[in-house]
Amino acid sequence: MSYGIETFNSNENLQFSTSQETVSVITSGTVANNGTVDFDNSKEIFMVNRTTTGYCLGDVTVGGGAGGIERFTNLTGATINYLKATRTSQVAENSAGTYGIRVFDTNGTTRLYSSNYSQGQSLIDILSPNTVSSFGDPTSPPTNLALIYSGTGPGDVWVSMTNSRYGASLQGGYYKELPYYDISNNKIYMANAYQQFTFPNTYYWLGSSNSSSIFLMKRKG
Amino acid sequence: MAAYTLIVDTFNGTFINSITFNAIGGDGLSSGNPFVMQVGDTLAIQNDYTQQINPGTAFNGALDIIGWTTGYWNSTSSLLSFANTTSTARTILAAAAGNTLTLSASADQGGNALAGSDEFFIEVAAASITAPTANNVTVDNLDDDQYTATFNLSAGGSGGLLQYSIEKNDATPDDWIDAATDGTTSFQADFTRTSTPGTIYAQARRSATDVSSIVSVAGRGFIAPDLGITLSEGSSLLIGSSDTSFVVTVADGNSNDQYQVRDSSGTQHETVIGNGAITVTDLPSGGSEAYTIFGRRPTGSGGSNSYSTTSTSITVTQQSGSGIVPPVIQSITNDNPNSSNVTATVNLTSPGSGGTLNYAQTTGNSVPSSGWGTGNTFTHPRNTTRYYWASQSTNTVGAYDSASHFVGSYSASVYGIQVFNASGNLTMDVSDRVSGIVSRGSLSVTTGTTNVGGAVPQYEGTSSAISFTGMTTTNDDEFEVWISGDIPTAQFGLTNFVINRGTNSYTVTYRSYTASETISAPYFNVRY
Repeated sequence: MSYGIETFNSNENLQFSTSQETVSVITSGTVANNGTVDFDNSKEIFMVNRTTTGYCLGDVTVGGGAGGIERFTNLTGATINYLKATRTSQVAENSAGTYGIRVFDTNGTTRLYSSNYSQGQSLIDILSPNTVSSFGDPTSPPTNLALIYSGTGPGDVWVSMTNSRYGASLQGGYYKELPYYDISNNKIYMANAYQQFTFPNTYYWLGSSNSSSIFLMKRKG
Repeated sequence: MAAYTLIVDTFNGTFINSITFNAIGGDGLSSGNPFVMQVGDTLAIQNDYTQQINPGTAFNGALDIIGWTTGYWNSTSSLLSFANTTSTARTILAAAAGNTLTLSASADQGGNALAGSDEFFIEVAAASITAPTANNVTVDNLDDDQYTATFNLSAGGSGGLLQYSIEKNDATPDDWIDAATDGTTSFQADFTRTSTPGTIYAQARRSATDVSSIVSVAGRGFIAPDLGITLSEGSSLLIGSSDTSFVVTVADGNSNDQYQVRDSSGTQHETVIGNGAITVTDLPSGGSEAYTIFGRRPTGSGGSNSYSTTSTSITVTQQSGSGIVPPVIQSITNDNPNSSNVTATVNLTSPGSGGTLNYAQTTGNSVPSSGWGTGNTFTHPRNTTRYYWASQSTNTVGAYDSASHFVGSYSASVYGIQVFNASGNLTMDVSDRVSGIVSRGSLSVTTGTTNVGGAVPQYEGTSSAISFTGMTTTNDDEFEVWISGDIPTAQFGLTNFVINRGTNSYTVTYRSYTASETISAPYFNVRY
């Protein structure tokens, strides 16, 4: 960048830049078992979280939501937390704010950053497609799952489930991009596996990998 | 070894009625048809009332069996068989092949009197003995004045009586001890450590002529003390002129060993077991004297209880004059590098002696006459230098040490910004990282018509280059692509999307089971 401000954190990672907008949360809440949340995969990042040990199980139907956007169905067997995030410029500030900072693009209207949001987001990692692989039977977690987070407070970490699939059948089941929270051991895993049929009546688990990028972040404030 | 039971009819007058089990020889009811037993076999007596071999006449009475020949049985007293019970067993101990033993029976009083007496004839067969086979003898080495020798057989042999002997410094061990059971193959004996270890010998046998080979092992001498110690005070110690004792601290010692301080003339002073401080109530002769640490392993821990020098010494010097030894400040440290409140701590290399240890903090570099206290922690304002003092006699010249310390606004390694919301909560902290969206869009990929999957047909296509300023082939910890593919469930198992990183751009490869399939997906190019 030739002008403006960039700040970096104590690990030399980007905090914000006046030439780039960031991601802010549009809405958040809880979704009960078998409940649904619609989101627009073309511009929104759908993320989930739970504070107790267990899977976040769900199925994303492409174009299955109202107006042809995506629909997430919670199949966890319990209520879990969710949020939808998008570009900061698309998210209204939580307060008018008579102090603090706002950062605008060169057009003077696109808001790249604002201190008027009641909460911020601290990005932990972005995992590229085809980089989170697991192998074998995922039904006894965390056995056979891929570790995607190890650190303090996994119950505060949100994981994207924008392309998750879950089929519980014992024959022909599938686990795709399903996070598993191991709260007591401060870890989060991810399952990517499906069952393959072999004649005449045998099923076995095959490994797979994530087809979409995986976001991990914490909310601040 | 076989166990036999002799059945006795106490009603008919023919006492000996039957023998259970398969007799080797005859039934024993006549001298020409003796019942044959071997050394180690046992014989018990039972009233026929229990077995009912002769039902209707089986009388439930008690009786004595007598006539147990001297020299053959483990007891020769009469054997009482109570009504409806089985007597204790009696064992043949000695072999006398071809000898015929005669047993007699007599009736007990009470109930129906027995019509007479009968005899039972036993012949002792020649014993069949296989000698035991010795394997080895080993000794343990615990921290104890005793040690245990274990004698192991590779085969226990058979017949006769299994015995063993384990002796020290006797190459022909013959203190025979009966084995606890005939099947025992491991035997132990305890010995006391001595200055000369000696040799342990062991042998087993089943008779005087059926013996194992003799095995041996070196015995155990005394365990030497661990002399590789150090002193926490180093090689020299300065004490105040009024001190009447001093302390040295043993490190790297053994918890079983005793360490003693001796002065240069060899006089023995205080001791400690294992590591720890020794307070020596002695003062250096002539103002300075070398003290040496000796060590020994007590008898109860397997040692000789005799001291040996560790060759570790310390020279103790006593101050003259004022008697004050000043403390030595090692460092000043502070906590809370990211907080506005900072507490500084004075750390000492040595506390000094001869007075009272006190601390002080000043804004200038001059020893204070007041403000001294025993606490070594102080509040230190940020962006200031403070001077810290430690003394055995406040501001007395020669009694104190000092050091300066600066605390900045934040540690130099911490930077970044903090953003608070209207409630005063942090929405961005100095350790946070935030995703910056460099560019975004939607990519389109069409799979080809060439099967790249083999038996399971798979087809792939690659997008055109997508610009991402700052990306390199390796910096995925800073520049990453957010992509969300809408992959049908049926396509589980494929690699789906693959990001092909380049410099300032990338392409996306998509793999499908379907040829000529076009798929589009949104992407964010994220810097974080």
